[in-house]
Amino acid sequence: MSFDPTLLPWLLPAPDDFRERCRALAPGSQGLGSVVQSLANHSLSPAQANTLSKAIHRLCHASSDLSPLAPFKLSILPGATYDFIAAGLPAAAARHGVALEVALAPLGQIEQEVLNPASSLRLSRPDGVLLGIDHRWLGLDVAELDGNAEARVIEAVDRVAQLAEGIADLGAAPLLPTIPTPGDALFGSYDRRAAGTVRAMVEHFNSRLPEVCARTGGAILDVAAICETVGSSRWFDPVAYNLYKLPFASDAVPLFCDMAARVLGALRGKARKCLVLDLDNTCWGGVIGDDGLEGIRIGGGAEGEAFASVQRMALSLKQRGVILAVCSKNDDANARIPFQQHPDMLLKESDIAVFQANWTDKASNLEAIAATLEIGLDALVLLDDNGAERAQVRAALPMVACPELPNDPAYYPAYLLGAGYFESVSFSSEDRLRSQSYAANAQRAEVKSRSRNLDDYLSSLEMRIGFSPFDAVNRARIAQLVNKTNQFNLTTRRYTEAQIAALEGGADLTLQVRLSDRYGDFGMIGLIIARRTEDDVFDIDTWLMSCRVLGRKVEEGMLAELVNRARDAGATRLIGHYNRTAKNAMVADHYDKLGFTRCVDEAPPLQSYWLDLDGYRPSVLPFSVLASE
Amino acid sequence: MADVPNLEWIEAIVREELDNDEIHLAMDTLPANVEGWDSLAHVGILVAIEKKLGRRFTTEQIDSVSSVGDLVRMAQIG
Repeated sequence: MSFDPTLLPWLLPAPDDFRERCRALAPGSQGLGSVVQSLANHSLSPAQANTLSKAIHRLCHASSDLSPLAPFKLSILPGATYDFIAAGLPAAAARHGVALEVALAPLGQIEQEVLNPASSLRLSRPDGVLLGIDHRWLGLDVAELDGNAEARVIEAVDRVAQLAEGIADLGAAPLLPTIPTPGDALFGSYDRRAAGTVRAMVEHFNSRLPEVCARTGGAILDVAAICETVGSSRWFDPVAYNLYKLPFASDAVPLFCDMAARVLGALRGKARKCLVLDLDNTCWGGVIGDDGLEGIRIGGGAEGEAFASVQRMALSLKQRGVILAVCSKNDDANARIPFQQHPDMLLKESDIAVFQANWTDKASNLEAIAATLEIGLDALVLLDDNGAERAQVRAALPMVACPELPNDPAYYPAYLLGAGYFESVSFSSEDRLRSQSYAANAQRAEVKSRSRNLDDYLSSLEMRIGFSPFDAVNRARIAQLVNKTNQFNLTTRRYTEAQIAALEGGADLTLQVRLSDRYGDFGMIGLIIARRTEDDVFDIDTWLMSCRVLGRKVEEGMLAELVNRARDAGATRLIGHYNRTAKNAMVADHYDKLGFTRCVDEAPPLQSYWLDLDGYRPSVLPFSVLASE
Repeated sequence: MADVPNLEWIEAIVREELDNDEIHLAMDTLPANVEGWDSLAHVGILVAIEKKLGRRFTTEQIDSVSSVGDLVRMAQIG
């Protein structure tokens, strides 16, 4: 695995019916802007981007209401073939909150368009003008070793400054590109020292661009940085330049468009404001509720380093004014322990403005975070390693950004920062102070649970569940689960591998449960040990489950299977127990929810329950059950 | 789509690039006679073919394309 930014890997691939959905966009229908934005929020091929851009053009032309997208008219003045960029830009802009109309001026008419009072550029009254220029257009493509390098660079800077001033006079924002350096070296490493090499001249030019921007109220489009990210050997494409005058490789067009669109979004105030962090396996390795303070990975070791990088990135973002929040399925007290006690945690509670650790769905918690901070949901970015959580949030709140993440946490910062959610066209002292002004006291926000259609979501996961009795092959994993599961564990009884082995093939009922869904395989996620205490009674000695699969009705599925197997063995009654510990409060009403009856006359921490199998009716469950032995 | 690029394979790419499923191609079809297949669309089609094949054509190969059949043969030989 590696990180290829040209594929925009933080976005989902486009759905199969993408073209049909673009064609179906009809002027005048409700919520058009949001539909366009969610269609744009995929990694699009040039043809797909073109299809969506054409649809956006059609809708703008029909004066459709595309809010919440902000309108923007961009003119491109091309020094090379920018048609493919012009075709891809509206789709990319919609991704970043902008309804973009693009006008592409004729090739090679840059000065004429800016200076001629009757040019189509002047008549079209654009909001912004992008200069499609590079080292070739500026005359910095050939070394100048005769001592005139300085003058050549200054001439290039002046030429761009004059254009920028002309554009600013039109009332438009100049978008000024930095110039990527071709990899071909004349001397080799010495190119950096020798005045007049292409590298030295381009670097000098780029270093002068910020002051031109400041003077003309322009914005920089750091094309040189895009080229660096892609790699200059991939960026420059001499074949395509010679044949078609493409300014750079066509593979880089989607990334170029996305980067330009971020700047347009930032100019329209669409950049996001708050990074919401999941905790387990996002900010540290492991599950705090199960692995405990000593078991989670942060700081030491390669995996711990990866998570430390995620935290460092979050802190840097906070420093530049991005608000940090936490949204985690956890016990509040458990989730705060690493922040308070782990020596290698870089994030502290005082860095977090809103701290949501509970078992309610993430969409409701994100709503609570936005409401508390008094910002829009479209200002949030959720960083979460769990694909199913991301899918649920995207379905419920499409305006919240949820970058896709790879399996290896070492790449999390590259994915999040690569996606450019927090693009900015300025950095002020208010930005520096912002995170403080949002009293970062890790407060808890009240969640207003809404009835989301849970059943639809669960069936969309296409879950497959499998049951089998304990066996030798899985013995080690069973013992591991028995000995480390703390939260969803009714009795917290620990057994050695030998004790587990003794249960295999005996008179007691054992169940190991596996779950997978369309996003992946969770492996073994639940266990039951039910002892035959009388001929017709099974007593549930152990019932545990991984918290990763909470809220998916797995416990109901496990009960249905247990009841079937107990009936087959001739039983008429189940007995269950809840033995309260410091960590298993989340299952205090487990048996109540499943329809068991409480036994009376018991003193905490122990509570027992019973269930008559005659009266038990299973509910409809969102799984397909895999054939079991 | 076929494993070895053939006429149908090229046709699918052209339909996608021109966003038009009504297009029907023959080996002797000339791009100029296909609606929407202008010089710019031609670039998009060539780039899409290269991307699907995972390799690049040479300047000379691309320069010598005049009919759909040339495209098919170029995609086959490489």
